[in-house]
Amino acid sequence: MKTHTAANTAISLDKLKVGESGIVGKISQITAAITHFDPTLTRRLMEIGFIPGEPVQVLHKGFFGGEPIAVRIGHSTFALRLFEAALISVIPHHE
Amino acid sequence: MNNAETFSPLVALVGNPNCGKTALFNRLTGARQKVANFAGVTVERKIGRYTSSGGRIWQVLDLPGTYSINASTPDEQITQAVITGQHSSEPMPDALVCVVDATNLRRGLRIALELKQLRLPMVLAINMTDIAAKRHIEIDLPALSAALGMPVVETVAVRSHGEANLVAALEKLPLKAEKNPPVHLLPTSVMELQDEVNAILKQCVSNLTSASPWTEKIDRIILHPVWGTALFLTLMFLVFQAVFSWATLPMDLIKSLVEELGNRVQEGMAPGVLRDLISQGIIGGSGAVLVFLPQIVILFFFILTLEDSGYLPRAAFLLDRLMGSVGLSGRAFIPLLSSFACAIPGIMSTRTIQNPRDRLTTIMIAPLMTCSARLPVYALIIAAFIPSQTVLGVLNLQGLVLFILYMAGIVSAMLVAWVMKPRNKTQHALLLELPDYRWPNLHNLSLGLWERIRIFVTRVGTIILALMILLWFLSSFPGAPPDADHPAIYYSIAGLLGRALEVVFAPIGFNWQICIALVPGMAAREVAVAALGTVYALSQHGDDLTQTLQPLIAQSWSLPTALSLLAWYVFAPQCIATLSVVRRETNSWRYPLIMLSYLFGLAYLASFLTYRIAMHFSG
Repeated sequence: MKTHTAANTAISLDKLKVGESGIVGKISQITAAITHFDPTLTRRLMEIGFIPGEPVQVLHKGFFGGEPIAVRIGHSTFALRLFEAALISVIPHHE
Repeated sequence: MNNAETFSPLVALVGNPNCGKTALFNRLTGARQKVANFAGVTVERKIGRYTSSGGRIWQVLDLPGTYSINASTPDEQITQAVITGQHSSEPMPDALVCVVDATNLRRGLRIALELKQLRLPMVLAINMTDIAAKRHIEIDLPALSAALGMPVVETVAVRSHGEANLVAALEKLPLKAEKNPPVHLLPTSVMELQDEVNAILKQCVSNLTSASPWTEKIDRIILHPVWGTALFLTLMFLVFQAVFSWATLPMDLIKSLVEELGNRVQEGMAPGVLRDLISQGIIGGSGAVLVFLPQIVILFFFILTLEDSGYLPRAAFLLDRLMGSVGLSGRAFIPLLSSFACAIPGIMSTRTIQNPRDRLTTIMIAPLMTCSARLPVYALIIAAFIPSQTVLGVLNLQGLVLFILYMAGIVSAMLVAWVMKPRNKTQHALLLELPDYRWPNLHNLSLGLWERIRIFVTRVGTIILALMILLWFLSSFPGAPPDADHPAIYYSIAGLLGRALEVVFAPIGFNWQICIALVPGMAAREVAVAALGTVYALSQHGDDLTQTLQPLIAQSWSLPTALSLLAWYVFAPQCIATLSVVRRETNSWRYPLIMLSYLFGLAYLASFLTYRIAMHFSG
């Protein structure tokens, strides 16, 4: 892990605006309700590349209610719903 | 090392989705492949073979694409069971090929490291090196091979001979003729694996960060809320236009060929039972279905092209919110689009939906998408009852009715999905990859199309043909009594059945001829048209027998009956093939039975309303 773990600056991925980028922080423990229906979600998010330290950027947001969002993670692009994105914390780049 | 001459090793291809694994499989095996399902589940199992220059026959198994061999989806469970030798009916592979996308090694190498712990002979195939070269990604193969401890080769699955390096590397693997014992996977930490991968990449690969230069630019338009949606609608409109207009010529050609063949038989054979069976039952029956081959080919041409180019997941992205409002995932778009050709491939492709609940809803509404098997029924009735006139200046009335029927299917599917939507506030993950755009590959496209054609023609040649012969017998025996005042079919077994069913269907306007046709239509909807043909052909006395079906039904049915039958076919619960796929997919009789009864209920209700309202207006 590198040095950019200033926890106070981390926000969740769903709060990022289109075009903003950052580094993946930690994947939250998911609320009991979601875990009940989809217990593998945390692991799957990590398997597709949401691993602490990986670069992430929000590319697009959907028309209605800004959902789903298209996110560049590592060398791939994934579409996520907002609640999934909310599980991922991001340390935003300030440029 | 015994029996080196006859030993035919089994090699399994493992890799991430969208890494070109199936294209590589196609390149290795060509058309020598068998597509089926893994025992008990509808996860597609593709196996093929090739003969190396040394004369060894290699069996190649294409495993479903996975992000990890840690099993969480049905696809991943299969992959894990097969490669660890724990699958009940699949032998353990003798060797593995881990396929990775050269432009996405960061994710791909993780699975390579996971596979390494199996200690099977293994080759890493770095695919799509042509694209990587264009983006100036340089991979130090010897260093990577040393770091991973396995042979590493470059492949370009979309180019001929792009698989040559892999074939050569496989030949050099130290293989054993006896099987390895099953192994248990140790749990791995994604984070530790990624750290390891990143360390390897730092040593062996330069220019890691480059992205596809035009994917982002194209996405700015395609994923744009306004332009993207407009483009999507235009595209869908064009696809359906093409399905109906391009197909006309080949359809007419097939139709006239079948008629010609029927006439030859009619002239060449002595009159009698056998001649009627061949010309009406066999040639007429299968011809009525074969006519739809061009439409299926055109629809699948578009679906496969859109899929290969990377557009389909974008369409799912655009539709996710809309479909989410009735409780579906955007991912359901692809299975539902396929269901316009046939619900069976549609239902089979629902396995890409990870959430079981979303998947079930998609399966349950898939038969409401107007499949191409319903087209013959629609086409026949519309041609007979709906005048070809222009309405509102530009629209053709017949086309408009067809459009309404399609929309009725879509709208009822959305309503059913909404009813099935869980009332608590659980949210389901989308996790949908939007791969880089690429040019569709002609080789893959033609193999995919060939596969569809084969399945369809086999179906015509087996199930449908057998049913037509059976129906013909049921409709011809026993013969009419000497003092008969009805046509012969009235007294046959089929006639008895039809008259019994008429009691149930009379309130929605169906006569006994329609009721007979509904029975073989259970096996395949399009058979209903052929069955009506047989029933009405046998209902005629002597000279009228040559008359074609369309004017016949135009004379003998009322408009409300025709409209009622159209409404019936929007829901049309009768398709045994679909029900059996649902049974296999959900692994229980419960859901096919629910599907059958809800579709039957809706069909009856819709037909009843249509019939009564039409009766009211026509006096």
